[in-house]
Amino acid sequence: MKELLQHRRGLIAVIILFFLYLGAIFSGFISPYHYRSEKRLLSYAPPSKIHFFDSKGGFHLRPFLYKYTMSLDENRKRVYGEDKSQVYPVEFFTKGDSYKLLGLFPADIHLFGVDSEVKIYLFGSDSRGRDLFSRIIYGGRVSLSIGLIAVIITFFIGLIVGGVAGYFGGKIDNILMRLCEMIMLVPGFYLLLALRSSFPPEIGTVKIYFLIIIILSFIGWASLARVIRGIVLGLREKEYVLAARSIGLSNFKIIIKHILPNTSSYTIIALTLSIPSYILGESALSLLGLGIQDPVPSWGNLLKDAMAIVQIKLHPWILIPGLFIFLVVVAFNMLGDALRDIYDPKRKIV
Amino acid sequence: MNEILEVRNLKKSFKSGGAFLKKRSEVVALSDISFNLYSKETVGVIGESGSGKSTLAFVLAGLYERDQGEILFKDNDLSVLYKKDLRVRREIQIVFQDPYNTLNPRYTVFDTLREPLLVHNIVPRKKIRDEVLKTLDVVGLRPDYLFKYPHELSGGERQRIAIARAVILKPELLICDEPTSNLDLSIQAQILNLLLQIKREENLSMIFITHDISVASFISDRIIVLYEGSIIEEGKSADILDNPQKDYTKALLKASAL
Amino acid sequence: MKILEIKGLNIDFKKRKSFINVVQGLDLDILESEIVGIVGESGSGKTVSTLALADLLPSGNSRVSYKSYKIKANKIDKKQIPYFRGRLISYIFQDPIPSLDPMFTIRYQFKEILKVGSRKEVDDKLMGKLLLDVGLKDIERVLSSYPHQLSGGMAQRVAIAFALGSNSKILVADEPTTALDAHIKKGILELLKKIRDEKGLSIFFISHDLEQTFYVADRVYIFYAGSIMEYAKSSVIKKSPLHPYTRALLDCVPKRGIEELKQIGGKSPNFGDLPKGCLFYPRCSFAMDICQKKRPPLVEVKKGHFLRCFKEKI
Repeated sequence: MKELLQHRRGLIAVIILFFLYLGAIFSGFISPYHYRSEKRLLSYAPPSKIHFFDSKGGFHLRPFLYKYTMSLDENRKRVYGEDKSQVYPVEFFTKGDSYKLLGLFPADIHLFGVDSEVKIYLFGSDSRGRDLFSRIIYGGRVSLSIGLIAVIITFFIGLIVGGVAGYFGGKIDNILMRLCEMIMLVPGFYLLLALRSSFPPEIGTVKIYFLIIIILSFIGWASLARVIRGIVLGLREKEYVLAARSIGLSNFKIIIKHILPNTSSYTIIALTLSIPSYILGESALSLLGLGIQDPVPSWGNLLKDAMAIVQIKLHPWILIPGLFIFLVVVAFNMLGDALRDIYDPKRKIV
Repeated sequence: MNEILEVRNLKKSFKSGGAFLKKRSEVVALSDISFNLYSKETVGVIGESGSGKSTLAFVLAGLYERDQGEILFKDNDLSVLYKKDLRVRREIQIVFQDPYNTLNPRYTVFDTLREPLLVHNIVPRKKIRDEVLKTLDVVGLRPDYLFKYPHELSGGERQRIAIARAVILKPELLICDEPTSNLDLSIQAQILNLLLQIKREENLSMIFITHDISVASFISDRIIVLYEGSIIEEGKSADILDNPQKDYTKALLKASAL
Repeated sequence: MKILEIKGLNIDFKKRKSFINVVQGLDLDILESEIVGIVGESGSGKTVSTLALADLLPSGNSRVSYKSYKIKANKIDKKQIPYFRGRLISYIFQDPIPSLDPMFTIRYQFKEILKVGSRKEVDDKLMGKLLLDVGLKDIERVLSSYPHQLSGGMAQRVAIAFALGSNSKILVADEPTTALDAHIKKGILELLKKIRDEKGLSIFFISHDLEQTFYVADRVYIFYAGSIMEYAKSSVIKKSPLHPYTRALLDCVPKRGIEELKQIGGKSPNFGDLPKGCLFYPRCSFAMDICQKKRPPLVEVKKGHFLRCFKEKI
């Protein structure tokens, strides 16, 4: 762990992931609005400008906002401006929409917010006037957790299948590996779509959430199992495994205590590097409308609005969720790189 | 003298190769091995690489299954014992050649040494630590080695832990598969002395496998000479060294003497 | 006649952020047609010192310096050393099979090496002759084999043939017999003596086995914890070993009939944590008070016999 923080890329990755996951856990607190809170009047409003100097040149210690003004131009397109007549300071630890802290405790304190007369849209708003910043923060709950949970399930299945196949060899190995190969034959993304489509499109958010996790784990475990099996083939001839057998330790315990723990240097890295593809898998499903549905946000379905070039040209801020996906994928890749460096026995201590 | 081990016509082969269109070839590791081991004696098994000596060790230790022949341990069929009776694992133990792979790198010394005790449940939980410390002392290591990891230990120290793991169950037969071949001469001396000492104190019977005649002559009462899976000659150590009968033995002795 | 001479060799290794001194002020030399034995336990610095001769230590992790380095009485600079690799100095290692590239046949690798020695015609005839020189018989089979298809003894002979093929004058043999069976060892030792006599090669023979070293070497250096403890002609040390460590090493050889081998208690010191006085003091059965306080210098106690010990007679 220490070494991870000393590794430059590792440190950056840990910092990025720390803040992203912090945001996901305390989403209610950090975002100024609830993800459902709408204001159709302010549809596609650009990001709020934070000011320190007012129109008369006076300096305010506290950052402040002006109210949005909305008017239609000759093409009936919305044009937004600022009503500089009144200054609305940004308030911290303010009361706002109620939510449940950590999903359990009702609360209504937010990290920051403004008077209910105005809206603070740090990343602008979407078609229904919902604060994109808040929705991105809430969206992190889905996008960041699904990948993690799916990876943990993949981990267990892959280890057990690979461990058993490699340790026992023979027919068991044959059957299990052919099974893996069949699963690996099917292109992942199509398998994803096919599995999802075999269930009714509208079955409730929670069910969809778990369904996605199961589908993702289902396509992922096979390649991990194959590699684990290869490593186990080598490990089972090691003298300490032979010694465990000669003591009379049961096969099950040998696999669990001696063999699998010694695959960890590969496993940890492989899993860390597969989290990004799971996150992208969920994003893709949600983007296509097969994943998490509106109004529950996920970074994938937030990008649905950005599917039309016209929208991107007019309201470029709707691409920001993509930036977050990019950030988390890069962070996990850097983390995997760093872990790989640390676990490499030939690494020169820098 | 009673026989603790009787080996009759032991055969063991390995099948190798066998890819898609290739035929599987058979390598005979042991062909028709017969010998006895008497209680409390040390038999040295000398052979070059490929003579089958490690295979013999693994079969006797229950790590490989024999193909044909009979092995009687205290008048019981060893193969049956290994399948049915866990106790035989206490009575026969093995020390391996490579000190760098003989310990689980993720286990502390304490984990490694208490595992045999936990498997066989012969010592009450409260007394496990004491028993481990006692055994550490037997192999000449201080108590502060208890929580060290293998990578913190030298080759000789790891081999001592391996020996401790083997003797903590108080076996009757100890099989040593070239335990000093990967060690420096000075460390080899330490380990050989240790094995002799343990053998005397615990009244063990020992099978000591090596390619080095001087080591075999130092530690064994009788010597068996193995070549390509067969026993060429056997006899008291002194007899083999002074009066070798077979040509192979003579050649081996001549080539090894400096 | 001195083909290589190095004086004041210093080697430091990087551990975490600082450098630890491993070898200090070492003097080594070798004559033409001579076998010099270097004896010590693992970690005594014997391998590292000989790797430094061809500047083969990893540059990021180590610091090597010396007072003077002469090849055939000509002073050379550190930058010139890489030129000599393969042309003047060749190495053979402990485990012969992994020291050869597993992906290519012996013939392929042999050709590559012969080209470095800038031989004009590299063909099977030349390679065959060299393989015969090292005592191999089934030439065609050996040339067509991959390293894992050879036995340990055969592979080591191939490695020696490679060294001969590159026309090196100096061969560093790092524990060449350690991984081989007892009865194969002797053959390799005989081969080394033969190429010393017939080809005039100078050989550094590194080993932890004093008995083998006496059998093959002309002069012997006894290494401990990065320092030379004793050195003299092989026959001289064999007859009268003076250093307690040398004597202890001789007592380690297993022989029949003895009840117990005299072992050296304890273990070699860590390089970061060397004792203040004599490096061998903690394990020496002849230790005196002065041994704990001062480090003995290397002194020529008899003609040609150098000793680093305060005790004159044991």
